[in-house]
Amino acid sequence: MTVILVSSDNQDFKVDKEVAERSILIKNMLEDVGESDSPIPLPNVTSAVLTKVIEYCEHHRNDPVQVPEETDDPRKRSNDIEEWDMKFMQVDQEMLFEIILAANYLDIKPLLDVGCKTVANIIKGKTPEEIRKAFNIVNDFTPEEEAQIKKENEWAEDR
Amino acid sequence: MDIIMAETPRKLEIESLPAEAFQHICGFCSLHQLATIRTVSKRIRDLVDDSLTARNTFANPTEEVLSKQKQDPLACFISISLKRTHQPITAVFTRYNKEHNYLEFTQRDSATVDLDVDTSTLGQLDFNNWEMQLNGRSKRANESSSTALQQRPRRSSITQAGSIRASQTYMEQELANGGPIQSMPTNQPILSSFFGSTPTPAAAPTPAATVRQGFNHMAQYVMSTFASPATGLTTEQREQEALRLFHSVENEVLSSKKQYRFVLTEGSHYIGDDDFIVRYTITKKEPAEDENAEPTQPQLEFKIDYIRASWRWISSGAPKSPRSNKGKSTIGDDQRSHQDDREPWQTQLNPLPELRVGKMYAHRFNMLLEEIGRQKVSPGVRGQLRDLGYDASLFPKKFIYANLRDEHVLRWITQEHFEEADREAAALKKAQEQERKTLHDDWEMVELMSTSQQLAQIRADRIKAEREKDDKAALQEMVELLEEEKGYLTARNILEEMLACQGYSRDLIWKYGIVRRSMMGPVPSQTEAKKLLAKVIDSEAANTSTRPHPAQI
Repeated sequence: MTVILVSSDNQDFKVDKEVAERSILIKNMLEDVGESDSPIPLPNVTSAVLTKVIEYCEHHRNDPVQVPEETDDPRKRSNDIEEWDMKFMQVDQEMLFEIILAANYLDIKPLLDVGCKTVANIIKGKTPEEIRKAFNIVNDFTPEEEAQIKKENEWAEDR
Repeated sequence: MDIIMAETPRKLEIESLPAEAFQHICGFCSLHQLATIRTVSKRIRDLVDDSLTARNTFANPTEEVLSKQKQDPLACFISISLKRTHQPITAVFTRYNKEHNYLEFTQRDSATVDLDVDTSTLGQLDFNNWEMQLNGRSKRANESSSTALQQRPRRSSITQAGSIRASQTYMEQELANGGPIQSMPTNQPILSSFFGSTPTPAAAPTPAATVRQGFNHMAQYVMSTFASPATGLTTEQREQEALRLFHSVENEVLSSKKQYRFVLTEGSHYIGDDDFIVRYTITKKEPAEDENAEPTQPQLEFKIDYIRASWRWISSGAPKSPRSNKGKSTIGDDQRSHQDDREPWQTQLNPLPELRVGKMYAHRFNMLLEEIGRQKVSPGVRGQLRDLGYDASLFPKKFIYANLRDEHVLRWITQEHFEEADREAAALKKAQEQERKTLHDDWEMVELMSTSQQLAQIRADRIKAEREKDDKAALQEMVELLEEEKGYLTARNILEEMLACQGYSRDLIWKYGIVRRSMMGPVPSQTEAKKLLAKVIDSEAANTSTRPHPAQI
């Protein structure tokens, strides 16, 4: 069985129900609507992003559904990304954030995790200035505020 | 021709991510990384601070206090070692208070403490966050590969076995030598000696017959040393002194961090310092009655209600680093300057910015200071010190006349009364809801309910008024006691001031174990204080001077 997903720019995507149901949002919608051929509008996801999301869901269509309570390891590590996922996430930053937003909206936990881990990995080991440069962020602290925040962060400095 | 400007969609950047998505990213970063991130921009700082509050969800997801090895290495936790033979008690980070910028750690399950000390024991706090993670990685890396993992050069919270052995050797040397204490190299445990007795000549470890069961090697060594008749102490004194020294040395050996006196009587107690407050509760657990079993001592249940710590104290719990003024005192002068008569501290939002305890509870802290100033506690305390033989001119006018980290003071500052009020208000609300549930849609009942609500409101107002009255009375009582009890000053406060007055760093108080053991006690006599001071100064002089000390020639 297939379902039709409609992106915000009105492009239709025909996907297997099994694949679409990797999104908890879509799964719940399908359950609510019941058997229906009506297309599912996704007004918050562009076609470019939806293409990537579907690609991810296709690849992981046979993965067991993640139940948070049953997760053995409560630790949140960012260095355990699968090779395929790592390559999948090699996109420009804007697309990376779009994927995170879409995963959050569509409620696809594994994709959200991979996206956030990728961002966390970009941050790791960088100085504040390097982080600003990496993410194009302007330092809007006044010198006084900067001094204050440095003071608050003394605990994290090497002594 | 009209030019229609097409609205270009705003480029999505990390700062424009919704808070929940950003919090998810923060979930994959350690506290140390978050500290770096929050310095990037205001928006990021706010997002990180919000995520810290939400961090509880995975800091300890099962709501259980796990063993150290099973802890989430990303989570920050604090362990308290009451004595070396005891498993450290762990409290896990649960909350970040954005308003006051402190972190809160709580322990959900009590720890049973089997202690033979009846009133108090020394203990130390060890803050740990990602150090354990690094240590674990390092261990794994060493096992799997000869290539050493690159680590940040940090001081580990875990004392190496070699360091313990080294400190034993130092202690043996120290006990063998007369004269001043030899300070230890940086990051080495500090030697300890005892006050009021001449250091003993070296005594070889005594035969096993004198060795007490149930004590480790360090304790046994200390006891055997004091068992020497050369000390001139009675058996009881020897044993007491040995135990006291054992506690001191034992904790020193673990690390050179500060240690605190934990009162082990039933009830809630506070321990405070510049950057943290601990509230813990002790309850006595009676052993199960079994006619056949041998009588056992009652055990104590130790429960950390909370530990509130500032950001900066988290990394190591180490005392403030001495200022680079070559031993001249400036530390603590911040406190003095804020008590300058020319600038009334009661008008300042945070009169003692260096005291995080004050910062955490600025409002009540100021209330207290205002009351102390209004009741002129300072001259009273100085007068009492004069009665003890201290030269009043020894202490400057701006002398800290009250120990603002005393348990009584902390108890009041941390709003125990208000907490109790909150609890009662919650109970009242619950009762009201219960009452509402039992009523039906009957007009008479509605009227009754309305009356009941009014009554409840009156009752709540009355409780609040009584609470405020009690709170004021408690403040009044505490301030009166402050004056009666010499400002709750301890030997530590006095010696810090004496050191500062003579131009030495106040941090010397932490450098020499001899002071550390005695510092928690009440204000010493002038003679005792002078002896302790001389001991510290001589020790410092011997360590800083290139020429050998006369006692070593």
